[in-house]
Amino acid sequence: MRYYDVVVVGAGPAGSAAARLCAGQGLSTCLIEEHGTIGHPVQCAGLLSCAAFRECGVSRRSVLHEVSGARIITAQGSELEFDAGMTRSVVVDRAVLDQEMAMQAADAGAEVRLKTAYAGRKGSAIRTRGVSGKGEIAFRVLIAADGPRSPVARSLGMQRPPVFLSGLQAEIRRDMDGRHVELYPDASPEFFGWVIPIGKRRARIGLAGTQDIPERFRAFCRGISGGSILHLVSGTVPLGVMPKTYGHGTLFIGDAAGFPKPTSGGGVYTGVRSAAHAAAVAGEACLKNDTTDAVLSGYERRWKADFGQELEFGLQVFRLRQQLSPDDIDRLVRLLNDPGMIRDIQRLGDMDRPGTIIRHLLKNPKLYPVLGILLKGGVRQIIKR
Amino acid sequence: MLRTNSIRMLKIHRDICGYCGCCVSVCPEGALELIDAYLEVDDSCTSCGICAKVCPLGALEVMK
Repeated sequence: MRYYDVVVVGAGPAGSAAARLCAGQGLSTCLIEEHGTIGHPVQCAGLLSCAAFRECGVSRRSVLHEVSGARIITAQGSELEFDAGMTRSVVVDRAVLDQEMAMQAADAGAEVRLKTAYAGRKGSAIRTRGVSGKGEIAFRVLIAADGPRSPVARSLGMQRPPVFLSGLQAEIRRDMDGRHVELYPDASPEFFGWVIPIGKRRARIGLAGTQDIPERFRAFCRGISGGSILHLVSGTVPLGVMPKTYGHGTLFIGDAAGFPKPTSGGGVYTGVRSAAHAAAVAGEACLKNDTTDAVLSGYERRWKADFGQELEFGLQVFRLRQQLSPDDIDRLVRLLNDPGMIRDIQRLGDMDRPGTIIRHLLKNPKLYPVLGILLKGGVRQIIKR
Repeated sequence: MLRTNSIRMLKIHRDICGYCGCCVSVCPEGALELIDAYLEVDDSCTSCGICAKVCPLGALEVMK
């Protein structure tokens, strides 16, 4: 049986970043991936803030398009548009991005094993199955970057994230102002629908929610455009962090831990940042030769200090959103459509850390007419934080 | 293709499945397993229908 300091399960952005950073510290590292090709199937809308893209540490090869603002459009036809006047996010080919990150992990010295799936735990080794048959790989620290399903979390009996959204997205032909992402809150009442431009001719159209996704998607597509669908993507977004993100010699990172932002569903930024915290703690554990919870708990302290509050706040906003009717949302959009507030959004808006702008807006007296609706949903606690 | 189990009553339409694994994530019994692109259901399925409700493609069906 081969033995490694660190075994990483899952070669998405979080897993590959963790493997690269562990190998870079001189730790013997193995990265396993259940699929035969890194990055496929794509299960992501592929809109990354500039900060999230920077965290990935890759070339611009995966960038297809740049976006500077957004337009929110309600079912009643009210609109809110804001534009930062500069690139705020990039649309990427996730398969290309994931492949480059895995290549960097390999270049740093990690051993990458494709078509090798986690099949269970046996003491300080994992059982695997796949292209080279059944096997076992021993580790000192296990990093679980195995996505929303997280077979690792499941096999260890860890408590899982509380909410799972499912989403569907298609690539279509669409003539649009390529600068802006379009958001349709009423396309999917628990979350929202989106149209993400890839240039001026093509777009990714999709939505996420907790139910009726096929029906909603068909209705949404009818309202937006016709034409052939060239790329269909289905995916899962876990919301709400698992209560304990370490244990049994294992650190849980990225989607496996429930790190996607509940306001946008994006998981790359927090995923890659959690990978850095996990790699630092794995390095410490190997150096001290102590992989008990006493050392591994440092991982949870680190990510909580980094983005814990932001995720907690995001989940409150997500729960608040569940109580808003289409009429409430329409009123909110009309009230937000105010030069002062649009300026604030352009100045303070941050996809990765939306807490700042949301708190700021909720304090604006111009929103008081609609705050009555929000108060019943616990906005007081949100503002106080 | 189509796979029916008369006891469990959960039909997996493999021709529709996009193997995103959302069903696996939400299953309270851990009855569903997805290996690469192949979804399987085992004996612990109670046909509660949570997976069918969340599937973004409508690939799961609880038979009445």
